[in-house]
Amino acid sequence: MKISKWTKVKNYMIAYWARTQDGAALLLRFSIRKMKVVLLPLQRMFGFSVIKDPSKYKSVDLSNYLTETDAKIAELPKSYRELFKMSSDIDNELYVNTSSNILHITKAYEAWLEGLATNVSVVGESGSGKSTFLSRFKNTFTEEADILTIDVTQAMWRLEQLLSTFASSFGATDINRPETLIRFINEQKQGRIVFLEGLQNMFLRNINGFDALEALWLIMSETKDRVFWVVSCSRYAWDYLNKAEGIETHFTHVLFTDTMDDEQLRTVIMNRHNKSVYRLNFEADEITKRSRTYKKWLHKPKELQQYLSDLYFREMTDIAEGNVSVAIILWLRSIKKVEGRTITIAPFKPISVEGLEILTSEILFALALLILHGTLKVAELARVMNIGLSDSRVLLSRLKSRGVLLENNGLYSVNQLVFRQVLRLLKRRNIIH
Amino acid sequence: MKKSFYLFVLLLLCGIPVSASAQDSTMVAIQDTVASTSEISIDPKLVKFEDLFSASKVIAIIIVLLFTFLFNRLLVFLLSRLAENQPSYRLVIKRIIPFINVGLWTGAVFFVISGIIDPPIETVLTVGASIGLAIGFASQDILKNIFGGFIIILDSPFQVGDKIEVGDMYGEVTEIGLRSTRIVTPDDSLITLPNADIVNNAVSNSNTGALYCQVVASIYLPINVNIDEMKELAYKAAISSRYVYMNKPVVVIVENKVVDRAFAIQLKVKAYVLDIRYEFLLKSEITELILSEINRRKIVQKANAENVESK
Repeated sequence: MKISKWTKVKNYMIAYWARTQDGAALLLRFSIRKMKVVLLPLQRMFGFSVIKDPSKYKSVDLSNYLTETDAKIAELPKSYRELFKMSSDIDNELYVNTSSNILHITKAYEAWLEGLATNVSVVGESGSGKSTFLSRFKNTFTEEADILTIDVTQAMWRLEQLLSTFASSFGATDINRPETLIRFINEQKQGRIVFLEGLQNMFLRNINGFDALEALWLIMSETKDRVFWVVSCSRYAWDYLNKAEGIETHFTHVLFTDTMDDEQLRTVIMNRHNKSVYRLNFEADEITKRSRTYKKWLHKPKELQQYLSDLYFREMTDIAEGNVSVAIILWLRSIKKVEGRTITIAPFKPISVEGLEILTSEILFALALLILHGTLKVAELARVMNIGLSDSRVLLSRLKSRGVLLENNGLYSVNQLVFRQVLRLLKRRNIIH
Repeated sequence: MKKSFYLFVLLLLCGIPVSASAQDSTMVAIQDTVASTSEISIDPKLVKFEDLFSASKVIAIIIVLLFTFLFNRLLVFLLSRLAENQPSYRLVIKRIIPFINVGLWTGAVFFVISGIIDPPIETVLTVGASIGLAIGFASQDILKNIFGGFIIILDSPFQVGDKIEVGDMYGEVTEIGLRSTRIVTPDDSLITLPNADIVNNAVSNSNTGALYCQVVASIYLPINVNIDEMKELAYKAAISSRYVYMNKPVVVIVENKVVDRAFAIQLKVKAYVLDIRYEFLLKSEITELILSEINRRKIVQKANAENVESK
């Protein structure tokens, strides 16, 4: 049958129109996807991102996640959990030496033995490895020395509290003035090393909150010949005290522990994991599955796992920012399932603290003070913020119910899982500098 | 381009002498202008008014001005949102707004005159002179303010977001316009200051573009209090306030004053606030902390008792 010229043209037009429609649909889909990539960050930047019922939605998101965290970690095999237990006593194989800190502290100690009045301060974020570092120094270099450890875990900002704690630690009685304690220490025949952990708990950001610290400087400076003082302090308290009264002038050596880079953080995790019998299987999220690199490695499982592992650690270390304890919690939280001898790691999903964006400046200041002090009780927060006890209680309980704070025996602290996000938020809001 | 340049020069020539000169010299200028105008013969090249402002041109002008207005509002809105969502860059972003305002409107006016109306240069000169004179007489103050606005934008004695003091007025600059500048006072009143007044007065700027600014809290005390104790107390009050900006020093100054014919000590605590929005909260907190500690330690009572004993 002969097809007329008109039919040919008509068919050609129909085919052309169908191709054009297809092309247009593809172009539209592609444009929308690309637009979303560009527009979403812009929306957030300009504050246009609309989320239904923000406070409710976000708090549920965060608190759900946090509730699940403990349960999920508890489900893991005990042997695996033990490997990732945050303890200051870890063996050589697991320890990742980040810097020449051990060398510096040893030199300071040797100088003190030779008669120079040296002392050391170890500064780092909570969970960055200060205690581990001090523990290694204690075990490795000071086996024959007389060691005294004073661990200040709660606020101790009154002079009486300091004198009573120090007196019982040094084995002295009837100490009611710093001078009496100084005399007692200097009368001892043998010199000793004193590890004073938790300097951030020895002051309160209040008009009367510096008494214990002032007494400590006096005791330290007067007993430097008889005592090799090694003090550990959280980074944010150190920064504050340095600006307020130049704390670093009291120390001859200042060492920083939170300087671990992304690769070292990965080594910390993998060293611990490699001591277990489990194999790792990294999963990809939907966006990664659509990427060309993922598709390229689909037929090569080993390369694909390497690619996914790199991707996971890149995102995880970005949030952890050199903090070992944050990295460990995030790692354990990422374990999706344990089947036989295989551990499946879910794609890394940072916890959203977008809900915090709507918090008032009062709450942001409270968070900043909690980061400064590490832990605070209801009464202590009331003192540092100059607010009433009931206001302080309400404030803390609101933050606890949102999952931002953790409570342990009346002591409130910022949840490690959201610590970094909170810190970034406070810096962005110009509250922490 | 050439026309635009002539127009600009003409506007300047019309505006400056009129706004700046005294009444007498202005009268002489009018007489001269009237005399010279009567001598000018009308050039046959001049275009008729109906040709210059045809219906299509008027519609185009309205569309351009409307578009400029809407675009300007949109840009200002977006930049304000961006500034509030990026606290660290708040002041930097806000200070761009006046420039955008002036730039857009200037561009739009030039486009309307040289692009749409497109009059011959003779018409520009004639109409410009007439309009210049008319505007000059009618709105000397407005012109002064507009030139003041230009000077403020170019000289930048302050920016949007700064805390300034002009005469008795003190507050945060929220808008720098061509005619006026708006500030919000500590008690949340919006004050519109004519730009000419700002240019002719001394302006004190507390933070000059930075987010922080210095706050001074003063406490008056009896002459016989323990000064060292008071200085230490004042310093601790400042550093323990949550609003204080710790990257800048806290200074306590003691001055001797005469209050009600009696000697007194004035304790000045100079500290920086981390954001100018908390300025008065910091001042209040420092004062409150010092006073409550003075009362708790009964410092004034002790000083008074010592005074009585010594007498």
